[in-house]
Amino acid sequence: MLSIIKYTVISLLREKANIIWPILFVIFMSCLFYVMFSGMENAETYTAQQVGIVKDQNFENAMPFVSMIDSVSGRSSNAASEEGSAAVGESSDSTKASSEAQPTEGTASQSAEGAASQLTDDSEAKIIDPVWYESVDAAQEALQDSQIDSYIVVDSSGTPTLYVSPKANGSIGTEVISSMLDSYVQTYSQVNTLMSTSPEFVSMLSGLSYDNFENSEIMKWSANQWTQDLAITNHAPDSSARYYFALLAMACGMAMSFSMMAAKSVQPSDGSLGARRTMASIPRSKVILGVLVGSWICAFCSLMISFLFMRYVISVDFGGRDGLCIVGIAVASAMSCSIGAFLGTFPKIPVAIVAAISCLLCLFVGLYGPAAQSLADYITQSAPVLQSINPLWQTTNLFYSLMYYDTLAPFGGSCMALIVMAVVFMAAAIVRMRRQMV
Amino acid sequence: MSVFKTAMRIVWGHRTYLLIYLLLLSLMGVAVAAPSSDEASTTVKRNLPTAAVIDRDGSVISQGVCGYIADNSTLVEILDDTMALQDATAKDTASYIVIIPQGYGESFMESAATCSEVPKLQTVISYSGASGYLMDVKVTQYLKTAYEYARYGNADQAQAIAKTNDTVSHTANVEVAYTEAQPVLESFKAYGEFSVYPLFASITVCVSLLMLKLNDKPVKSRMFYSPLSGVGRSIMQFLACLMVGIICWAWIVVLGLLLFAGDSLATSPVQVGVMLLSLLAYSLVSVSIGFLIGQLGASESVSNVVANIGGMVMAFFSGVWIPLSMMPSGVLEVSKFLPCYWFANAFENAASLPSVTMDSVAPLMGNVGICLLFGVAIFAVSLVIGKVRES
Repeated sequence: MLSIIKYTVISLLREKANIIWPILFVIFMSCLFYVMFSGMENAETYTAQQVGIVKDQNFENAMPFVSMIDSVSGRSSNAASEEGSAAVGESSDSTKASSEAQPTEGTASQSAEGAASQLTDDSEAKIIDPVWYESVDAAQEALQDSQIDSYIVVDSSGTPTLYVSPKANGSIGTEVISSMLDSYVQTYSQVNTLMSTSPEFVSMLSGLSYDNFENSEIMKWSANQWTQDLAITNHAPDSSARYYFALLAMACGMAMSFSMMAAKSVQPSDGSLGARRTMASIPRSKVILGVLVGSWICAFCSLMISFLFMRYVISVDFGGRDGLCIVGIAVASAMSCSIGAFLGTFPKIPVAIVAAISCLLCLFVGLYGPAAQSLADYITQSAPVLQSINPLWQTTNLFYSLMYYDTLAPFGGSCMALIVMAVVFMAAAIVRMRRQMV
Repeated sequence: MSVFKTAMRIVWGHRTYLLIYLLLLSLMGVAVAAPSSDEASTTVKRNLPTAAVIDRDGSVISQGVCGYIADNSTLVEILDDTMALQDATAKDTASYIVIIPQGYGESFMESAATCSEVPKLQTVISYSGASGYLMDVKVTQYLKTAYEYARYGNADQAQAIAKTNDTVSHTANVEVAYTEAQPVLESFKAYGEFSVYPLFASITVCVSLLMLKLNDKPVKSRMFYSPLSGVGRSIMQFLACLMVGIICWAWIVVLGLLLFAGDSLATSPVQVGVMLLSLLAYSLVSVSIGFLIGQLGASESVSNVVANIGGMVMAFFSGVWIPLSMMPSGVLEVSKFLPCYWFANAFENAASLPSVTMDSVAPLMGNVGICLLFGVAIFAVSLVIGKVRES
């Protein structure tokens, strides 16, 4: 039997195209991913959203809105804070006045806006990249020409309205800008409420000036950190890891071609050599077992090369459990081997079908970009059973569970699922490969 | 003509490939595009994250936070144990998970009274996309508003939350701007974008396989002795290759139009037209690449792998799967040397063309033309290679 294993391996290796291409595929694609994601590692660094702003008389009159825009667009934070504090200064004047006489609504709301703009200004990050337009028509024309995706118009009461193009409707960029405006409107409303109902707030505001603003009570509590990011998983999640895992799963799918070819070669339908091997005076079980073990060795080695390349050349993080990764690869290649052998028992099915099957199953693993990933997630959530019978999904899940979970239970679960698949398909393949079947 | 017919018979003889690549992969495109939202474009769409709240406190403040998150996200249910949390993070079930620790409400109020350090909410923010981060900013804003009411408004928990909810009910006006042209439905665009892969894979495999069979030594020798001029034979073979490309294109296009185009064909015929043309140009490039592989004499398994790798490379470099803006600038520069970039440029911009004028459509047609030129260039190269190999 040892010699059968040996010659299976040799004959599979001799078909250079079959051994080289799957490995080359993984190496090439992981290099591609490496190049693509090298800039995405700091994807959290936010790029400012471009937005048009109509700079008409209404805009100029809405002073606090102007300073809010200045601060979020990173335009000279000093100038912004000066304007802001000027507004706050104004507010303290007006509130002083209000205690003496009936305030006009205009001054009260202006002062409120002044404070509002200061309160919203809690970060120095550049949120938007404004493009200025003289009139609504000019902004609309720019939107029509696809120069901008959205623009802000301020009405005579100082309320901003965001106009978005149908293209940007529902995009995350629009969501960022509209949230920013929401925040402004809300702070404005809150300050107004407090101004009219809370003497404490009015007295706190009147105590503010440019000199003490930095050390004021408002600054003190609003500078607090309100939420704290929790490291919940065994390893920090990494958006690019998913692509590499899916790629390994695809390689595992492609590795089916080894056992498929080997299984074909011992069938009488595979020409004279197949017929001779069927008639050989060795127990059929030994031939089948030898062929399966031989192709498993090839599949395992090709996956190991892919894995080692990713681990050491591309430096993909597998969660620091390399030993268990190798166990996972051994199990996954057993699965791939037995499915391939099963397919190989159908003489009419071409070996090329392996590529197609792998491609299809990889769709549900999420190899093809975010749209495919959300489809995969959707299926995982709505039809977990369907997903769990996808051998390639189980393969990626092996690496996932090693990376994210403390316990080894999910890893063990996926291993078990793969072993069950391997056994079922192997049994079916062996039954179909028996001598009397043909 | 008989060469053409024979060639088509060869393609039909290998219909398993057409079935596997064209049918299966195009159905994958259908599966990917189906969940795309397709609301009317005149109403404002929201890009809401998925979020989960684990409330260990149960105070009025924590309920307020829960309510606010529920209003501003799609809530998902997650159990309060480490395994479930890890599971949700690993599978990215929720873009934003917030854990409200026990006693949060009380210590929040206490902090507001004394202006001491505020208690913190624990969050798990998904690594994918910005919506989780945006949600965090919103929740922070909500907490600050409640804090301010509690500190200056003389409010207890219930009052602070009631006032805060009233405040956050004020939102900025967002309107969809009027544009002359209607954008093409999102799902049709998504389907077309995914087709970059099935089109390339199916066409290159079928064309290269056809060439492989035609270049088979005995077949070739027999054809060589037929009373047909070399030029005529080559033209017929090339037409057969083109036919394969057009059939694949037609299948993809008809499927897309039937399932996803909706009213787009009526409301924005020019845009859809440009999109279909760009797909056609891309199909013809795929034909010439398949022709090239065939001329190089690649085996069946090699052409399979090349078709798959090539299809994926095209899809990744054109930015239809992952936006190019998220990648390093070098990738963008490289992609300009690939036909897919020009295809995607025409296709995506046509989908959201704000106005249909000569000035806006002409550059798109220019992109389609560049894509087509790639096809011509590759075809020319493969003719030269064929000549060299023959001699």
